[in-house]
Amino acid sequence: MQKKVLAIIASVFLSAIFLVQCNSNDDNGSADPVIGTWKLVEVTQNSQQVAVSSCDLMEMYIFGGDQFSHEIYSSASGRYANVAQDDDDDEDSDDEESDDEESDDEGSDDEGSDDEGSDDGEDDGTDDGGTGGGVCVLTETQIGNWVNTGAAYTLEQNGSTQNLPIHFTDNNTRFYYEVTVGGTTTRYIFQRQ
Amino acid sequence: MQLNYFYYLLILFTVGANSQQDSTVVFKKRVLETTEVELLGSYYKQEGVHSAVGGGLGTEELTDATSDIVISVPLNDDDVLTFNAGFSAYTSASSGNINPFFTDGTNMNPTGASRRMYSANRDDDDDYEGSEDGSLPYGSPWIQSTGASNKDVLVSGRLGYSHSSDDRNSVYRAHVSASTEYDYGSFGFGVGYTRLFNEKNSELSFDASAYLDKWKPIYPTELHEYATYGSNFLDSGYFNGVTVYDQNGEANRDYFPINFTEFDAKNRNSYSFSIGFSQILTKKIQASVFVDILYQQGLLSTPYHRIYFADRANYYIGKVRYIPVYDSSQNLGVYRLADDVERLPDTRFKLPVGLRMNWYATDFLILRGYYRFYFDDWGILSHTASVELPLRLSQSFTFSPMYRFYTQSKSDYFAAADRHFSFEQYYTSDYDLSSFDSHQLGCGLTYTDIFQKFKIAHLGLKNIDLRYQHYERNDGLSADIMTLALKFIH
Repeated sequence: MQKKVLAIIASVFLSAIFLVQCNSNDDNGSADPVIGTWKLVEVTQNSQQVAVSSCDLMEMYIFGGDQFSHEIYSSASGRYANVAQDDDDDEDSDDEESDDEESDDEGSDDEGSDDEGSDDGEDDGTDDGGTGGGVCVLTETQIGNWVNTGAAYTLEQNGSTQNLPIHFTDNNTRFYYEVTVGGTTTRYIFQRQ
Repeated sequence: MQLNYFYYLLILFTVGANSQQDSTVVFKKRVLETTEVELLGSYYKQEGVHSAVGGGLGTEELTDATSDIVISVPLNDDDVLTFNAGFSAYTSASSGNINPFFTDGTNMNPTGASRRMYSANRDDDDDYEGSEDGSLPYGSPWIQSTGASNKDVLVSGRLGYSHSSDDRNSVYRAHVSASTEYDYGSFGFGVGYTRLFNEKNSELSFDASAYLDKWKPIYPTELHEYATYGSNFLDSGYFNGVTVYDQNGEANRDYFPINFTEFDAKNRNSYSFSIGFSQILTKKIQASVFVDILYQQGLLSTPYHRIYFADRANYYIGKVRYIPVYDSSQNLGVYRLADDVERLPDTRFKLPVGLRMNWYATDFLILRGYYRFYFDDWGILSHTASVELPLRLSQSFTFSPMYRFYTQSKSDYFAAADRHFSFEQYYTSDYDLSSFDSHQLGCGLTYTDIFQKFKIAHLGLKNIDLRYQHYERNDGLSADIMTLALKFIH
């Protein structure tokens, strides 16, 4: 009789534990791997790693269920200019170079080689190249909607559409996309936060 | 013949006199032999993702520490006076977000909202990370604001009296109680009567009580500012200099919570009437049934529970980059401004009906079963079932595992965030009124020393009861509670 009672007790509680586990709130299927917060961690050009300023490394994508945000930072006295697409801005960098000469900060280390390097899109980039001015400033914020078309992610913002061919690596903890201009392929690699 | 008659009368008189004197000379056991003092303490910790303060979104993290003392004093053979006092100190992440702006909690303006936090070394906007978009304050329903509303202390007291008849078949009860916390005060009173019959194998109880409560309403800061400053509120008070953003992260001045009005009536009154019947069925089985009738009237909404309407645009303050992930814990710095607070009917009728059964299975094992059906006129139906198995391990120790299952349907007035419409009369996004299942698993260990060998100042320790319970709800809420009770006898 006692064994029977103890057996009943054991089965009741094992059932309870099982029920608790079964009815606990399960995750909703598998979410799109792009959902999350991503920060730029690396840039390569033609498979060669290039130095990236600390301001550039503040570039961030945040993907929600259907919206995304994208922020770009630059140095207060420099610019985000380590890719070829910024050629038009390179002329202006000459003026900023002169500003660096006049400043007392250690950006004077940059006044020669680094800025000229950035003019050609070959910023050999000291790490403090982007912070020569001292602080990073948010220069652009985009908020829009995204759609996964299967082949790429389509980002829509203010009526304009951009296709972002995102490739996931490292068990979906990193993604990259590539931009090819004039024979130079630049790869932007983001890390999940 | 006359002598026999005389003896008959004498016997009759003697018997009659004795029968009248029986109630005064027959031994009756004291209802309470001696003064008892019980000390109770508990610690409660909760986590969840559907904060009602956040309109159904955000952290529900909360901790609560309570301490109570119950003193039962026998006034005489028949009467017992019981005094109960306690306090409960809680810290709540969601309550802290009544004011959602990130602050260091030291600057408060007259409206009760906290001022924006400024970096101590801030020289210009460029030195402060949060200022690049011109908006200084930022908060998140997933992060606890350090505003004063994130913690509070509830103090309560109760005085009870009971009187038992000489034959111990009738018990009369009465009580008064009061409690207070920052935004809520309560005063209660009640009476009860229990009748035992059928050689005390049957017991019938009646209880009636009333609680007369009052809110001191606190509203979400953005709505309070609107009520205070009217149409110019975006340029006044707390919003002065603060940028409001739309869903696309663009600066926007269209935020206007036109639905919001402050509550006029601040009272909340609760009345209850309970009937219970208990019957010893066999030597080993005792069962009881109970019915409660409850009625509430007054301000039954919680004034700081936000509502977001599906037919109103969303507006935010803080860091726009987090707008796309507002609904998740990755939102580290943006808060959606409320469209209104929850509005619920000013009356509520509740009817729980329950059954208890105790089976004294063996000398060392009792099985306690419980079932309750609940119905109210807000649309909620629920079922509760629990089982407890006190297992006597030895003369002194009893181990009591327990399990409780609960399921309820949602209230007619509940919908998740952004699902209500502004034309509705009543609305809430409080997940306590949603449909959910819950499981509660726990155990207790009781130590009993009938000789009270351990004493503190003439009080002998009779019982130590330690309990732990884990609670899990299928909407993401989980909680743990540990309680400790010490009973002393004088």
